[in-house]
Amino acid sequence: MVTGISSRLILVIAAVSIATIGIFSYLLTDAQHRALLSQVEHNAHQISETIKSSTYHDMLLNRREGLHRMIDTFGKQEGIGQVRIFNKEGAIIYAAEGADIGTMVDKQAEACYACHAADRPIERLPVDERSRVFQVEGAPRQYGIINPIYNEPSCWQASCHVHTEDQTVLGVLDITMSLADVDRQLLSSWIKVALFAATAVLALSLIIWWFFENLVGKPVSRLVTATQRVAGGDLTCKVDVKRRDELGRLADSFNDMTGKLREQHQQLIQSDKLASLGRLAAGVAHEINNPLTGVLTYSSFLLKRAEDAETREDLEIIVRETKRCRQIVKNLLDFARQARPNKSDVDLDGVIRRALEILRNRLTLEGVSVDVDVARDLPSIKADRDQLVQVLVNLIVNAADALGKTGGTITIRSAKAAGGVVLEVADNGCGINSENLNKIFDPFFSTKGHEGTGLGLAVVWGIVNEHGGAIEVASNTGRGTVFTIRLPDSAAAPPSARECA
Amino acid sequence: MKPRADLLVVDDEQVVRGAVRKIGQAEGLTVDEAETVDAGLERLSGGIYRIVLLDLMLPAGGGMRVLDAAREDRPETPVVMITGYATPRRKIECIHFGAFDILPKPFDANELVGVLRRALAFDSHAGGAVASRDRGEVFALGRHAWVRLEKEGTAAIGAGSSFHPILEGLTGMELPELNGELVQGKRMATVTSRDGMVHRIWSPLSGRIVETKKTWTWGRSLLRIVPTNLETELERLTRT
Repeated sequence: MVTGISSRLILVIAAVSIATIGIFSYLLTDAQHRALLSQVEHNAHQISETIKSSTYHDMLLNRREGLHRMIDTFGKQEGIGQVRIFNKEGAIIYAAEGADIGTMVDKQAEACYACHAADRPIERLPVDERSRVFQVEGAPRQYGIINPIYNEPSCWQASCHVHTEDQTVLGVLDITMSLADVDRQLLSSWIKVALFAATAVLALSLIIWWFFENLVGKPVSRLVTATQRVAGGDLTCKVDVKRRDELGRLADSFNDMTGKLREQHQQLIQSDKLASLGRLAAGVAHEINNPLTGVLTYSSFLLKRAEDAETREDLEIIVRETKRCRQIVKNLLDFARQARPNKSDVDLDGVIRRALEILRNRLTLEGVSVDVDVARDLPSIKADRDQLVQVLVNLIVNAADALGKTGGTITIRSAKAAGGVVLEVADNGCGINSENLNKIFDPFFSTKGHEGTGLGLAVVWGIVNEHGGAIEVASNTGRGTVFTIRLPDSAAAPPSARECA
Repeated sequence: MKPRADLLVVDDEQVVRGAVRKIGQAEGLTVDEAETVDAGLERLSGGIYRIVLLDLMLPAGGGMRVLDAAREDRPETPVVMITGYATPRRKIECIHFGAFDILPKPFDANELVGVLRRALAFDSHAGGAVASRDRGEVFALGRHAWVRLEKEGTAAIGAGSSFHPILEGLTGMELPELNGELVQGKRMATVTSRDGMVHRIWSPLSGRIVETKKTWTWGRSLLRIVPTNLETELERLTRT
């Protein structure tokens, strides 16, 4: 799958590598071109000098036949195009291709240009300025080099008296060599470089694309999918990117975030439940207490006057059950009225000691032993001490109930945690089955039958929530239950005050 | 002025008024009824009653308005508040503002008869200082309970003069467990009087119970606590 980022990245990389390889290839082939040309130049110069020196003798003796033969021989060598000698007037006096002899060469012709471009002819030129590269339509490029033949004493002193003493340049030897071979080599180099460049760019793009897709593209698309699912309200999704790099950390943070969101979402649902229950309770209590008054007063009044044993018995049931109703409504109201925490600096140690003090008799009676494992130097927390004691009492009572008549061990642990403290109440009692585990914080959910109000853990939950904390439960049927409470320390700011960096 | 009736019950619920009438009459009392705040105020201004039973949650102004008027016009008449929404705070406020006692709904016949008998036997001119101030400052929750702050930081708590009539021959007394928590406005003790009636004493303070008494001697404390929220809670008590 090509994502937007990866195709853009590939485009940029391809452009940069094409430019780099292009410049590099140009420099490389240019250098090769120069090297090849200079070799041709060297060869041409050498040949030119060789011709000059080999014809020297024939020229001196004005043996034109020998000269022709020599120039023909040279002209037939492979790679040599033309071998010509011009006289001072520009007439070709010797040529490998005999047909050219006698024709005049214009001063503007490519062979003459180097010297005759300026108004007055230059008489001596360095070797590189005596050469030129030219191309005749439909033929390979050619390299030409001129070699002036200077007047020497032996020339004008020779018996033929063709040249006079005041002449400087007697003629020009012009050799052209075909550059077909050089061009072929250059073209093949260009093709190789282009092929290499195309392959390199393609391979580089593919490799980077593959790495990008695997290292970035896929994890990012997984994150995008997960984000969309979260946006759609699914808080259970997790991103599976097990890596140590930034994306791995991002995925971890993402999972952490959805986990926290899920937790808070559940807390929100729970507090919503409790809040509406509170309103309902207040309303119901008020409405129901009046009719209950009627039932209770009349039945108890009748009970006082009834003489028949059976009637008394029946009335007693009515009174007893009405009083039970009264207690339920009272619990409901107590629950709905849970006071806002009255917070001060509280040390968790004291809370644990206090809760155990309250329950000491009961725990001893039931043969429950309590292990307390308190962390040293815990930070003090801002909390309502009495409410925390209530939380702990409720949890310990539940733990003791889970242990049953046979007794067992309750472990209370406190520890420092990031931004606060952790309080743990564990028992090795009967445990809670997974079906009930989701409901235990719901008001009026009880597994204790008539013994319990079903409000204990709802109260615990409410108090912990009011303190900005969180409560978790883990349980194994038959092995025991652990309640873990996290409370923010006094230094921790309330969640709403925090800002994203 | 001749009493119009022994008992006036002000409540908007007919079933409650009916029950009170029935039980009152069985006690040999004449009973008068009012359904609304205005009717109650009118009854109170037009006659003398030995006891007023008053619903706190009445429409149009509520029972507090009637309580104020009753305290103003006939301070010697005990007013017992009855309410279906008896929060600890409300109980304390009612008694603090002059109610004789507060009886949460639903109540049974014995609880009602208990408070009626106690109110009838109560001599508003007697009582007064229930606890000796020798050993510390004494604060009162109306005539219901008192608190003595001791120099050790503990507070002794005892029942007020409204319980004096039943002190003789108590047949039962139920106090919370040692080390338990006491909450202001929640039940501190349940006592059964000689006639078998049940009376509840609301705690005037919150705290941890450090001592409970086996027997109840008049003027002595029932229990001793270490207060946990003294400053705020003292605001709803009266210094004596």
